[in-house]
Amino acid sequence: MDTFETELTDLLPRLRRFARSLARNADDADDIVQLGLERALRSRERWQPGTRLDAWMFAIVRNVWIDESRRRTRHARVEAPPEAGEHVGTDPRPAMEARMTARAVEHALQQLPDDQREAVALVLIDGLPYREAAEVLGIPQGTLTSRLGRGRLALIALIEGEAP
Amino acid sequence: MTIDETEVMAFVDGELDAAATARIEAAMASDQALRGEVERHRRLRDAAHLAFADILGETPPAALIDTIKAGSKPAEVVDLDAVRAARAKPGAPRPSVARFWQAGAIAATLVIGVAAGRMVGVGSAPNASAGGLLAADPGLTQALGAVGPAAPGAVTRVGFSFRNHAGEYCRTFETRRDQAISGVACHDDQRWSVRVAAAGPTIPAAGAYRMAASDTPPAVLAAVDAMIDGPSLDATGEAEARKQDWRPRR
Repeated sequence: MDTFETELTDLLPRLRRFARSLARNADDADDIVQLGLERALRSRERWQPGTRLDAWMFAIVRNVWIDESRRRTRHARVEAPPEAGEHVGTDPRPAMEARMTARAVEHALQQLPDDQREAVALVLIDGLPYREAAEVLGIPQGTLTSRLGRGRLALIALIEGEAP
Repeated sequence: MTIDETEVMAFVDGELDAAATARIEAAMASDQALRGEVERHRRLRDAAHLAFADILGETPPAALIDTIKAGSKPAEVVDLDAVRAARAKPGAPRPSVARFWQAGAIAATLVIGVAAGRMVGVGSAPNASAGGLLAADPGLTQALGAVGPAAPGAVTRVGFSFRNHAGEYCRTFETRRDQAISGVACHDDQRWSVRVAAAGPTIPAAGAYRMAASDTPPAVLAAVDAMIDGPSLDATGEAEARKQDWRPRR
């Protein structure tokens, strides 16, 4: 493998995590990553060395996710029931408030509008700086922070509203 | 002094410059409500991060790594003798099957049963490559022309259909007899011809009724990308194409 492919391999965990925060279950997420990798490898000459490969790949994976979601909507024939949260482990930090469990967060995340969910996925879950996250989404930074803010408030409302 | 919530979020995200950070920290010392707000957003950020932390420790599926490795090779439109040789090697990586997308993705992906008919057109050709035009043999022709469900254990499976820039109908296919071959065949005014042939992936076990988009090798997909004009055909589009015997619509 050359440098490009090695770096791509190193990115896999983050790509899978990003896809899983967008898609509704783990199998879908890995399919998205798979298609994203194929797309990236086909158009690798479009990536400029020296720029961030992670942001480039996130953008590709996101585009695949959008394409596949549209296609599925168009052919809304066979749908697996969403099993959000199935893969999530238990929260290892007992000090954290129970209602902020991983499961609750993921469940709430699935209910966000797509534009807010992807902002949350990039900044809160992956930890990308605002500037890179805005680049991935192709939006101005102000739009990103606005979506992010709305997403956060919605998450808090959902999590606190669902608390037992 | 007021600090709006967007600024609190930016503070939690580490996006504020030193001066703004210091301003918030100073305000927090005397403002309990602000401290609570910061704490709430920190907890959310931590929880969101933690909720997806497990996956970082997982070993990525082999199929993903295989995809990267396969992508490092040049486009695999290959010499078919080499395919035959390579096929004898055990342990070739299995392609991943898009378990879910395929269901809705391609409305009319079919498995075609071909009772007889060897892949003469393809199988006996020493150098099938992109650009070469090989007439499809009767078995393949039959499979390519058909629309509708077929029996499991099929020799030839048709994937998706599309129109190329010349307005011809094209379909991806996989066949396994002497060797697994994937490719694209297009129909001109008279007949199907194989435009691209490549080493096929290991075809999933009999009983897999569909040929998923991602079963198609990257080299063939790349060829499709170059050929396709517009989206792939849905079931209606395929039915129409069949009605006119797959002849180009002029």
